[in-house]
Amino acid sequence: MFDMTNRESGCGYGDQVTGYIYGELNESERAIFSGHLESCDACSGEIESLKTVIGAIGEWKSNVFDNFETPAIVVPQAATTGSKVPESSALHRLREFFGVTPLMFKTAAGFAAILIAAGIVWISLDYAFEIDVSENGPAPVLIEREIQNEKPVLADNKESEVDRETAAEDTPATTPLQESSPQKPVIASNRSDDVDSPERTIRKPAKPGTRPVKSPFERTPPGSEPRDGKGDAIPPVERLTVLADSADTEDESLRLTELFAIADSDER
Amino acid sequence: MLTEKSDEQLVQLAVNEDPEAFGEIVKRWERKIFALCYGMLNREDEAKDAAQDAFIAAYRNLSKFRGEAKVSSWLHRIAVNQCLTRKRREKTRSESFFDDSESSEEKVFVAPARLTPSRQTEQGERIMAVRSAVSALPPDLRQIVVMKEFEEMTFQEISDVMEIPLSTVKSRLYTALKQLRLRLERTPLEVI
Repeated sequence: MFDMTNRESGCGYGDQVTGYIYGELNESERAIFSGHLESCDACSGEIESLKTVIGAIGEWKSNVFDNFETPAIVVPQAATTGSKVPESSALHRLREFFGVTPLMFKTAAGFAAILIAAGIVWISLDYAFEIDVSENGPAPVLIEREIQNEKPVLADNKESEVDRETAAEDTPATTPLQESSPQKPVIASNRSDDVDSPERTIRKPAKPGTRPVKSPFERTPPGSEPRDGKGDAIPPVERLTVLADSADTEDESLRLTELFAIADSDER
Repeated sequence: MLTEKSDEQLVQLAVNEDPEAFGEIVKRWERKIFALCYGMLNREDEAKDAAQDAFIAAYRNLSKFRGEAKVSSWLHRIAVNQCLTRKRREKTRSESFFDDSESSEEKVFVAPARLTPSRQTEQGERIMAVRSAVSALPPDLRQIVVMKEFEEMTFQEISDVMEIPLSTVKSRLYTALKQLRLRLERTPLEVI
């Protein structure tokens, strides 16, 4: 075994060693380094050992190429016909890019794609749910019960009391909520259990002193519906609009907004 | 005659759709480009494909060659990029026998298992060991060794091709030779 350890020159002439071996030092550099070699055994030994390595590489090279016919490179057909080789497509380039991308980046890209897809699905579902709630809204029967609960607080509105009694008489045995429960699985199932527990209604009771709101779903006796200047009956939605315009507090506005949505769905 | 024209003139002719000009460029450089690819990839079939792809890529980008560098430097750079791309692809497919990562400098060279003296001559084993040791070099060092030894390029030419300072070329070659020496010393064979 050829022992070449501890041959590091350590004299700062490292870069000159390769230039000297390959004969690529200029005159002055060569003269200076030759002078240094006479006094530096480390550099002399280094050069000898590296020449041995270069000789071994040379042996490999001659073994490969001396008896080896370099394969003829096939010139692209287009080069001889004068037409240009078509550019590779974007898909091909993308495939090429991912072909050389390290596995770690591929994994990261896949994870990011999954996150993005999950985000899109989540946003879509969230949006769809919001639409479902706004379209279906709380069941009319609950609104009526809620309004009933609020009535004692809003005792100064006698007209509403009368309307509520009329509406209670007209309430069918099968409530609209129960009828429509198949189309509203989540909302209806939660609330249908609470029909008899007024304390679990969704909305807060009106604060004392707030102006009473007449529900557009409270049925009025035939012929006693509010009418406009021409004598035509005002539909519930328009009545709500009037009420919403005259709402004083935020709570009222919110409730009216919901009632508006209910009326809209009911009309549909 | 095309053979009397310089590389740059041939490129101009090829850009102007002279069908023979690019063929002359290929004839001039195919052996060196193939040698470069062979030294980089260490496999004949891969080297042939890489050289082929390098010339095709050069042809596709003829119009982008602005004459700021030598045609030979430009071709070498394209070939080196082709080889590095193939190496990366090979690595991602986990087909590589040797790891080309930056940390390979710290790894111990291991002689191939098929190195059986009974089946191969001593010279063949030595060549195999040198070949494996060169393959085990980090890519930036291996490029310089191959360019210097296989293509006999000058330091200045390597500097132009790789777009690195001349001093960096010298120091990298020095480092590469020292690493090769160290790796070959560890082999059980008398390589050097």
